[in-house]
Amino acid sequence: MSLLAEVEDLLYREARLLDERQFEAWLALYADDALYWMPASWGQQSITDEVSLFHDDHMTLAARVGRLMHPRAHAQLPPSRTLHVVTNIRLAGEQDGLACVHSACVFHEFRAPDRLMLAAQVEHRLRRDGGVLRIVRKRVDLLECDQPHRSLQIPI
Amino acid sequence: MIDIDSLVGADRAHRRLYSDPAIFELEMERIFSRAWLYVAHESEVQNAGDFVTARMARLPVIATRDSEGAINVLVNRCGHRGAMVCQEERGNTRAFRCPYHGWSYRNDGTLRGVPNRQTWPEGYDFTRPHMQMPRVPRVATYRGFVFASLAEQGPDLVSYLGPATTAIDDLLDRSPSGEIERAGGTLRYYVNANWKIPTENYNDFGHNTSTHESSYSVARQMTPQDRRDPMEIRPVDIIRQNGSPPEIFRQAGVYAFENGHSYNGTHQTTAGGKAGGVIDVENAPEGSAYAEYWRKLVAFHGLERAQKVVRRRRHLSVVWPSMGVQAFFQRVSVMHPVSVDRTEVHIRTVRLKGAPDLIFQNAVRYLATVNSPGSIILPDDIEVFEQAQRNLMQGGGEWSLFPNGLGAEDVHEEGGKWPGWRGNGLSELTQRNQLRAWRKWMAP
Repeated sequence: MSLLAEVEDLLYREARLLDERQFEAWLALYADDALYWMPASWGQQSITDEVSLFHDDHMTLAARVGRLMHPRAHAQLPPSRTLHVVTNIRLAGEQDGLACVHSACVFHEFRAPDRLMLAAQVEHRLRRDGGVLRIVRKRVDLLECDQPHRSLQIPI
Repeated sequence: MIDIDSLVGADRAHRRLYSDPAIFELEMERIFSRAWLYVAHESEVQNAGDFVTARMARLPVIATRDSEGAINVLVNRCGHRGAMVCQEERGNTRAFRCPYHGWSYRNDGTLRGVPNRQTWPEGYDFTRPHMQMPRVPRVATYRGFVFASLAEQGPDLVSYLGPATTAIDDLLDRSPSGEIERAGGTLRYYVNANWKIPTENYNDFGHNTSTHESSYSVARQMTPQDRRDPMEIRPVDIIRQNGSPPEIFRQAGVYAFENGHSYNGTHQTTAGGKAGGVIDVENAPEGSAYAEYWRKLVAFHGLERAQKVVRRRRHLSVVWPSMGVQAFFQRVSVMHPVSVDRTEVHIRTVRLKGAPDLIFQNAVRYLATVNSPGSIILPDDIEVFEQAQRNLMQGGGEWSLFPNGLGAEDVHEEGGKWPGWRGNGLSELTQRNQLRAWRKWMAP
């Protein structure tokens, strides 16, 4: 399989696992030193010195997954139904031994009675760990990053 | 005619307070157009020509530093047809030019020029007040925090704040240079609920155990990891605090004062279980950023005063009606009512000038952990706020109740001069106190 085909498979799998609420399997796609970042301003430079919508390491991602599956996560009763439409996947070179992948995501969420649609530019940095491609870094730039949001529960 | 007194009891608020658009409009007139509202921090308008846009409840305003060095708060409105003259969030300019017909204004809001003057009536008076950008009538600063009031008259800022000045002192005193600056961006969220619902939640320790069970029960099972600095905060250590035993919440206490101001003590404990905050600054391990911070703080204040500063352990101070201050993690939030059932909250960090970088970076991380709409805490708050709002709009029951601790408050004097009350941390004292202020300010 070509690298592009392998990457596409990974990104589509990630989307599908989130939409099927298989959050633990989703988390397994991430390396132990992973960083998931959703900036709160357009073109944000720093994760440490500027506030972010998501600033997750592996442990906080695991806490996120644990909460989503908890029977008393009030804002998940009823659970969100989501659709991650992932497209425009393109290999964008290699940096520090990590493959850089650009993609776009249109995210739909329905939680009765509310629906939400967000669009984002996404960058994945991937590393091959024991033959398997894992996500080491993911940056999600929402077009609406600096606008007031109500509730962003399901990772994009 | 709205009979204000019939809508509020000692332990209750009628559902119309949350659902009646006429009451909301009256609140905009009597509370938000009279009270002092936080607008900006001086560091955002440091130099002549600096400006920053803000909001006073629903009203868009611009805080400017004019060429005389004075701070003005102007309504972001052209005197001509009412368009917004400034679209940028911040910047520096000598003049604002309206994008509609090109009227321009000096940064003190006075009209500077209009195009095509040759076809205006001869001798037309351009200095008339309604042709200028409207000036918010009263602007005052407390230790760098710029407040404004839309009322020509009323109590001065310091009298209005009273013991709420200590919320700002708490923040400033923690700076090893005595100075702070606005930094770190802004988080914004909205909730489809009346502004009083999130305001009542500010000092509400009664909700943590049930509302946040899903996040704290997961966080409490997680084991520590290595950190860059031994004092770098771990979000799971913050999240798990919402599951503290009731005794911890009770002992933290709540404190309430005139004009709706209040604060609660902290329920947060160190990793070692020591009460009084997540980080024990005085006993920070040698070599950590907090040890350096403590040394600088002692050098600035002297040991005795520095101890007093770090032992003031509040969770959140409420500057009613719209501001929240969390001094330990340098957070300033501002509540903007949008409509009877919608509220927007803007949350910002400030930097303690002269403190090691990690102190600020912890504040930034804390914000993403507890105040982001993408956090695993806030969505559950928003959910319960909105559920309450829906029922308060519908009826089925007439009251929202605040009975816990009623009649069991102790007298408390803040700073040896401001009278107030203290309740156990699970008491609904601060919510009752907000209602008392509401009743006072809603009087004609």
